[in-house]
Amino acid sequence: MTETFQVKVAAEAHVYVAAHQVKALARQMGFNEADQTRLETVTSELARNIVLYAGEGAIQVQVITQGKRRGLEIQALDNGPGISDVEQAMEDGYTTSGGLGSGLGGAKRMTDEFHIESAPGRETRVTAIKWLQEQ
Amino acid sequence: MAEKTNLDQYKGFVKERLKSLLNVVQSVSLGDLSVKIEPPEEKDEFTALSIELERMINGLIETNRVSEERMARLQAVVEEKERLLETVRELSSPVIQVWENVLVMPLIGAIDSARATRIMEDLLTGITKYQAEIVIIDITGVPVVDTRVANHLIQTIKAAGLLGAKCVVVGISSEVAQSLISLGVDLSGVITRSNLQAGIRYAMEMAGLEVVPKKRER
Repeated sequence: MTETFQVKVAAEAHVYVAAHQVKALARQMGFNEADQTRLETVTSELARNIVLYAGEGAIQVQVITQGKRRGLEIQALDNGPGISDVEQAMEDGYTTSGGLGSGLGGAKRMTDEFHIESAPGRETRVTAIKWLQEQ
Repeated sequence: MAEKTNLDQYKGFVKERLKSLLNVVQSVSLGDLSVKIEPPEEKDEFTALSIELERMINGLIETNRVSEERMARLQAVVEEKERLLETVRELSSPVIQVWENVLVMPLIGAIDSARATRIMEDLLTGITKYQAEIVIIDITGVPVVDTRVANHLIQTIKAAGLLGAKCVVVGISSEVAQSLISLGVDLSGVITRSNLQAGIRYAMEMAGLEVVPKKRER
């Protein structure tokens, strides 16, 4: 099993490549169908933000462990303009691009851990983690 | 004194030969491979060097030719792929008339902005062409529905509404439904049915029709 990979994101097509690969890995790890789709959708949202706001960046994915539990970590990296108000960006309905504007807030709700490291002019790093439920 | 003159002559000769070779090397390093090395009239210390240099240039020319050929082949493959993709795009959002005034548009594959635009165009053209009143959009084959895709879908439904056609979205899987809820996507204004069959039944009802078992004649 590929436990870690990176997908370069510079065009819309890459959004689907990243989302598809994340789903495949989630399935291999044993996530249920609903969680597979959540992780796929989260990846899609994060990758799409890269294309929309930064133009290019990368999605980094790795399997992580904490004690006995395993999880999937998705990181979105870019050197775009950055997010000036992280809290505001997380609010539902906030958008600067004319979308539905619940992408980041939705991504947070769909994962167990979610944080954004960003400031204007610095590398933006969005991290989303979902833990595999103990069977 | 005669010796001195000989030495000077030799120096001059070396300078001359080096200069001509240097010109060749400079041209080559600037990317001009068309330079010709003038073959020395008689064999001297520079003959071997000239020959090797010429061989090197010919090697470079050959390498360039091969990589140009490779580029051309790659370009052809890319163009072929583009054409195939275009075909796939055309095939992936067909508009089918299933009944008078009722259209079905099955969507298969990921929806990006270019496709979303195309889907809307195809649908609006279909609505006008068939004078459709009801359109069933089947998204069973759409792998990811994120906020962007949902937004495209809502825009398309609104546009169809402006032409007087009502849209019914079918094929939202339970997983996609859960994701849409988490994303906070508001589809409350959109008519949905579980699958294509339910969608067609709804369309029939709207058209004032019903599907009944055929009466057996005795």
